[in-house]
Amino acid sequence: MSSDNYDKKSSVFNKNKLISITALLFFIFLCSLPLLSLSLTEDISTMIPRGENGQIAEDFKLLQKAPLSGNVLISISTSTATPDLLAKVADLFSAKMEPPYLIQQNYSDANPQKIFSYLLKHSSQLTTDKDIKQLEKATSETKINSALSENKRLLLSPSGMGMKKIIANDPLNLRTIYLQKIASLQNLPRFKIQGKHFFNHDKTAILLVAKTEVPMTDSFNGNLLLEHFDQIKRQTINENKETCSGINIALLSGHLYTAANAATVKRDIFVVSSISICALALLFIISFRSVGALTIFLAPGVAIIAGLGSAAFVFPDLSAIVIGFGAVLMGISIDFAVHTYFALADSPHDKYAALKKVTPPVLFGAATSCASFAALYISGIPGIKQLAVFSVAGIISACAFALLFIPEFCTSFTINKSKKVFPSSKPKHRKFAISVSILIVCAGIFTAFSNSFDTELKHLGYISDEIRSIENIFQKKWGNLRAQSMLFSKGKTTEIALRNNEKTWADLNINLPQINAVSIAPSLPSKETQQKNNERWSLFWSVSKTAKTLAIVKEENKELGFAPQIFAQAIRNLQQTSPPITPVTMGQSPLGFLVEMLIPKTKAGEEKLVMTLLPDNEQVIQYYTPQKELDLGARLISQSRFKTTLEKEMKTDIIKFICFSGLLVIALIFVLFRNLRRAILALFPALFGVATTFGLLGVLQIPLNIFHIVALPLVIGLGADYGIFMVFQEIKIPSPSTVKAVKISGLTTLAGFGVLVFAKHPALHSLGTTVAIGVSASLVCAIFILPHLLTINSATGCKNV
Amino acid sequence: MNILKLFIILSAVFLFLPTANCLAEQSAQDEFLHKLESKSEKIQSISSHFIQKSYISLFQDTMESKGKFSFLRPDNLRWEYSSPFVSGFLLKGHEGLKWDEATSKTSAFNTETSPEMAIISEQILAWTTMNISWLNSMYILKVSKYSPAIMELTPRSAAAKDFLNLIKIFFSMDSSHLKSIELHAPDGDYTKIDFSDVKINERLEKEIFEKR
Repeated sequence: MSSDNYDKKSSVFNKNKLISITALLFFIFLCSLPLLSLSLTEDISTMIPRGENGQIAEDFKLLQKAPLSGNVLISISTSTATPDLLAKVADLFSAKMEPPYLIQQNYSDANPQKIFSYLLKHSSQLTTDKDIKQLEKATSETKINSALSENKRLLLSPSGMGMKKIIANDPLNLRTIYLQKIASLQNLPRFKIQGKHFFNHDKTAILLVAKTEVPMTDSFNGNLLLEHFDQIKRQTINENKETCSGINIALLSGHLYTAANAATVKRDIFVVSSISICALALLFIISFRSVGALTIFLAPGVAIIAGLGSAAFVFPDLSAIVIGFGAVLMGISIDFAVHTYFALADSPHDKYAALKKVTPPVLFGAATSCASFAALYISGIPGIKQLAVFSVAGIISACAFALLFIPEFCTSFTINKSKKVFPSSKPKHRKFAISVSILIVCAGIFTAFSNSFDTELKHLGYISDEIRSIENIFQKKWGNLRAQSMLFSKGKTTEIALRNNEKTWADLNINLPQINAVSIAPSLPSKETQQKNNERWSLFWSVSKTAKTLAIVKEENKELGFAPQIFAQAIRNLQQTSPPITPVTMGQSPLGFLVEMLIPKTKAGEEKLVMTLLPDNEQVIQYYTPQKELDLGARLISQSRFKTTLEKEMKTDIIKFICFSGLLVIALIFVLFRNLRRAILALFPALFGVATTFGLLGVLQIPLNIFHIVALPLVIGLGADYGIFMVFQEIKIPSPSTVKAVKISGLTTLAGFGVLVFAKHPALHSLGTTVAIGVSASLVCAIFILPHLLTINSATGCKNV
Repeated sequence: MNILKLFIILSAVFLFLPTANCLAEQSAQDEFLHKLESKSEKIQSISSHFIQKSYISLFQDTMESKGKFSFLRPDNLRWEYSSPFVSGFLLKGHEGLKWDEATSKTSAFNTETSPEMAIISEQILAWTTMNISWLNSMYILKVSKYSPAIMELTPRSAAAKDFLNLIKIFFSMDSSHLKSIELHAPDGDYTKIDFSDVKINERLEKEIFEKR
């Protein structure tokens, strides 16, 4: 193409500049449209694999329904104060709690006397066949005699005053039958209940369970909640410092993690942006020094808007994590603009020729990057799928921007004084460089097999030293409050869920009788069972049976010194039945805490759930096979099983999409180059980068998490890009700017988000670590090792194709 | 003017007199409780007989029971009835034994796992050793008479008030030990325990806190 032709084209470019700007703005407008109906989710569940038939995602949802999970836990402990002083401090603290931040939960209604009365009042609904046999025994003459004698002894003992009401209502001691209904509660973690206080085993700590109106994911109001807590904590400690030293008041709830994460991300953004802006400014001053070059910095913006718009178009519920992550990943989109810019800078008077030269490698690079990220779509993790769409759309837009708009917008260029053409001369120490690089690749691949995966969900967020110390306090004083597994009985209606829960409880008693389980089934049977129980009860307490019992009681009363008619009304009351027990009525009773703990709240249209708590051990996990769960209409959620399944699924998923990504890139490069040697050489920086990343993470004993893995396609894509551009030097006329463009691309990537290594948040830090290691290695390989490899079997060193 | 001044002074006197009186009473009570606690701290052991009279509406008549009580610092307690039933319990630290001749059963218990026994023993220990800070945390204390002293305890907890609204403690002339105690229920029923043959700081065999 001659210079005249270029001038014609150039004038066309100039005429069309306005049209280009309009087109770009229209494109941005189009991409913004899907954002109007965008719904953002902040839920970490988008980064969890769905598993077979969505089972893992379903289990993860159920895991969130663990007892106490929606509450704010406050531990008040001391090493010096007596339990009474501790209780006083707890009362003072509770009195200061204010809604909507902290709402005191009062469990003082759950005292033995009220629980006895409740169970006796509802005995007709709770009487099983087995209970009828016990009732028969309890109403025999001998048993009535011993029950009344025991009553007398109790009344005359030191606990007599406390037992008077209970005895007056239950002279036959039927409570021993009905207390069995809540016997499984003894398998709960042991608290010492004194009045309204939950003490730990050695009475050095009190646990306050508070409700809150602030959602766990609301970082703004979460911060206000924590400020309110700190304020009343300070006041309480100041008011009691004379009587009670060394008081420790600690709060544990989701708000703590949300607030810490939000604050850390804010701080990270400030620190990382400052370093990044400084590094990019330095790079600009050293390498560009031209106003026209500023246009290339528009590329990431275009890519982000295009990625966001496309992802929002495909996925109406888009994860905020994906947006944040995608935006960071789109930093690579600047590379295409950099290459185009430097190609234009090489021949500023022949833009057409420059474009013709740079287009194939830019398109190759974009294609490999797209392939690398498109492979993420086969992942079972919803967030990764979203990221695939985001990234591919972003890369395509960035590539289009680089080739269509950069030549239009860039009018001034840096004058390239270097005349160094690649490869300038036969590189020195070739054997040494090649041997070392192969050794590094082999060591990296070898170490990759020993890398461990960190699937602990809470490690995906930021945990400060303060939170860690709070977790330690809770662990030390209260043990692991969520160490039990949960068996969820399900049903379309509460009635069906309750029936399945009964079935589960019966099965557990037959097949795993030695297991310490906590169930609501005996105290809250289904309506169907309650009706049967009622009929059974009415049949037992016939008029004749009641009269006979009354007669025996009257006779025994005389002998033992009781007032003659004192228990007559209590016996007559046994003939009556009470209204059915429902989760709502039980929720308002002294056993309300059981409903709150074991019947999770569900939204309209969702399956109803009733929970049974079981130990989290191998025997329980082995017992609840998929078939067993199907038979019982239940699902076992065990922390340990979930962790194992998640780890397995994530490993499979990661291997699947990384291999697919690698294979796609390899296939594409082979297709594009149609030359085995060049394809291998183009891929080498990517392989070197990935192997070094795995190797270094392994050597530094950093377990791989989902964020390291998600950043790997970036290393593959960028490494392949560097390789492609360097190998293209063999094909096209060598340009002094190509090596510089590769260097600048690598350095902008490192300046853009390699600096994330300075971030405290694990997600950003992991991404930064992977990029810093992988991109640096790929860059070093492309610039210093690839030239050595390119001279092997290369007859001419550089040739024109 | 002088009349006005006089009026103001008199008003102030009348206004502040009850407050001053209250403060004086509070101060006297604090002093008494402090002395009581100091005396109690010197008690190493107590043993006594008791007669318990129960005025409970469930019974046709007043029920009388007899028994014996022993305490040895720091946390040994024995409380037993000899009539009309032979029953009782002993406690050594957290471990204890309870027995009942009617059922011929003696069973071990631990206050960690037997909260009702923990509450009973905690209460008896607090009354007999005059653990004022503990009593103060559970009850509102009022000394209604100083010689011989009578102390009234009103439970702070609503749950406790449901079955026990007042405890009256009657002291010996020199306030060195409990003479009797009355437990009043909200419905008017009450139980009175009279202690006799009280022996303070006499040697007690450790065995009595270990074996029935």
